Amino acid sequence: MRPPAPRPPAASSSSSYSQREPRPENPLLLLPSCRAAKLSLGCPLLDRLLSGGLPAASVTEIAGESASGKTQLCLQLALLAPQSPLSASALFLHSDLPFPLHRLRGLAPKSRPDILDHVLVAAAHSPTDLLSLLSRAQRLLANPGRSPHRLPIRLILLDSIATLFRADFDASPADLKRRSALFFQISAKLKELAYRHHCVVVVTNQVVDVVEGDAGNTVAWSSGRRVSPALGIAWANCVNTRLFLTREVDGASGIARRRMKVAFAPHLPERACEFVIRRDGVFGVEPAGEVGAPVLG
Amino acid sequence: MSYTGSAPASSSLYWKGMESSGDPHPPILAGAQNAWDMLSDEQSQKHITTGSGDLNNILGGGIHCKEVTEIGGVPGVGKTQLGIQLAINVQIPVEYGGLGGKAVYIDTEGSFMVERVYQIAEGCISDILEHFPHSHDFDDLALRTRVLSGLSLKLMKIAKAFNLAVVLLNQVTTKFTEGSFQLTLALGDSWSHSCTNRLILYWNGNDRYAYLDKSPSLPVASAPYAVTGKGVRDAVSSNHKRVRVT
Repeated sequence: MRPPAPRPPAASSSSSYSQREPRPENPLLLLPSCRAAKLSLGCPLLDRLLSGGLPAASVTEIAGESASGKTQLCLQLALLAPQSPLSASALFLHSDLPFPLHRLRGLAPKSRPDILDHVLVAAAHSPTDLLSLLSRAQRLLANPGRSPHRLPIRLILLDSIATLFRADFDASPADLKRRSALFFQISAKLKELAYRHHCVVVVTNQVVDVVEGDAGNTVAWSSGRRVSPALGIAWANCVNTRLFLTREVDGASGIARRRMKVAFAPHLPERACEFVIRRDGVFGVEPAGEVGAPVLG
Repeated sequence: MSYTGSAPASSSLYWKGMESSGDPHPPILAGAQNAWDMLSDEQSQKHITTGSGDLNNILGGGIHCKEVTEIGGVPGVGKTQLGIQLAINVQIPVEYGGLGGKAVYIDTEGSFMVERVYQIAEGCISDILEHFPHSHDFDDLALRTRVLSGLSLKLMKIAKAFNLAVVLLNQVTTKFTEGSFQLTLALGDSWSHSCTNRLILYWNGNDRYAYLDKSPSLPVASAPYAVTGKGVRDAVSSNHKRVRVT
């Protein structure tokens, strides 16, 4: 377990406005450390899709319809974090009940019975709940000395953001404005945790049906529906990378094909990789009969 | 208007009472420039290439120095890619037709990924970049308006004084106006007056387009562009596609 680095006193939890002068950095000097700071997905094909894995100091969204593999992927990441070079604990915030403890235990490697010690789980029942949990996480990460037996938290998972906003909000302009304000507050806290403590932050999201005319890289076909991640443009502006999990039944063979697609990312091209969900986790597969799968439109 | 006896021929104009000033040609207004000088400055003005010839064309050669250009669009359309591309291209040495300048990239979103910058730089000629991360969180609307207008004035001053191109990447939100939800650029109406130029990036089917929405001297126009592994370039079919002006 690495010793805690000396830190300035934590900023007050209600505002993420930095009290320190921003320091200019030479990106060439940052390059070696940033290449290492990625959390592998535990599969070389998926890692190749993501140029190494999920980046630290960044918010990655995983969107998909229900049963597309989002939660499975989050559980997998939570168990990989302590075993990876990040050597980190995972903080798993869930809004869907109940937490899939059975599946987590089933995925844990038999050789590491202690691994569940490094997965912290908390339930968020509303956006305000989530904000207070994130404030507590900020204090927890700012004072690592308090729990010397656990690895420092470097992975934060939120499954899912969409559930928190399903009830309580209509489509009225006032409510949408209120909802957007909450998105920005939540995303500000997530990004502050990501930067200040060099964390990998993952947020899952559901999908909604879209009408004709919407285009671009955040619309896809899944299970015969034309869908887009929920919560609109306001939330889309809050994430750095968006991954889309889709499912299509191949007409000829009747086999369901799952794809993980990079919808947008500042560091990745728009490409996709086929994957499967097995009992031991989520893994990429080579596309049947094709070398170098073309990018999905 | 009267001229003092010792004034040189014509180009200086004096007001009575200024003879006592030490400077034999005090300007009427400190910092003012006459229009001829301004025009010749403008004609020798350099532009920062965007990497796409079509896009450069609608911009009159590229992004102008001494001006503030706003670039807006939905998430994923390529704002950050264009921002990084410009930050690289401004550094193209003078011998290669560039400005030989430097860039300051202020990242408020966390989208500045060094490995991508490296790729874009490798796709062009690279040099040293500077990167400042910080974030703001404004609950007080009045404070926010004051900060925004102060910021825009400062940016324009800096742009003019140091012969810099200031490029702002702006997000798109939905606003409820006239009974329906419409896509608008963030930060509101007062901000939209603050920029000299505005470029909107949008999707047309699966193709990326840029629309010059505001410019003091150029007509509105659209151009396609592409984001490739090497950075921002012309769209694949750019020579054959008819560019539509909306």
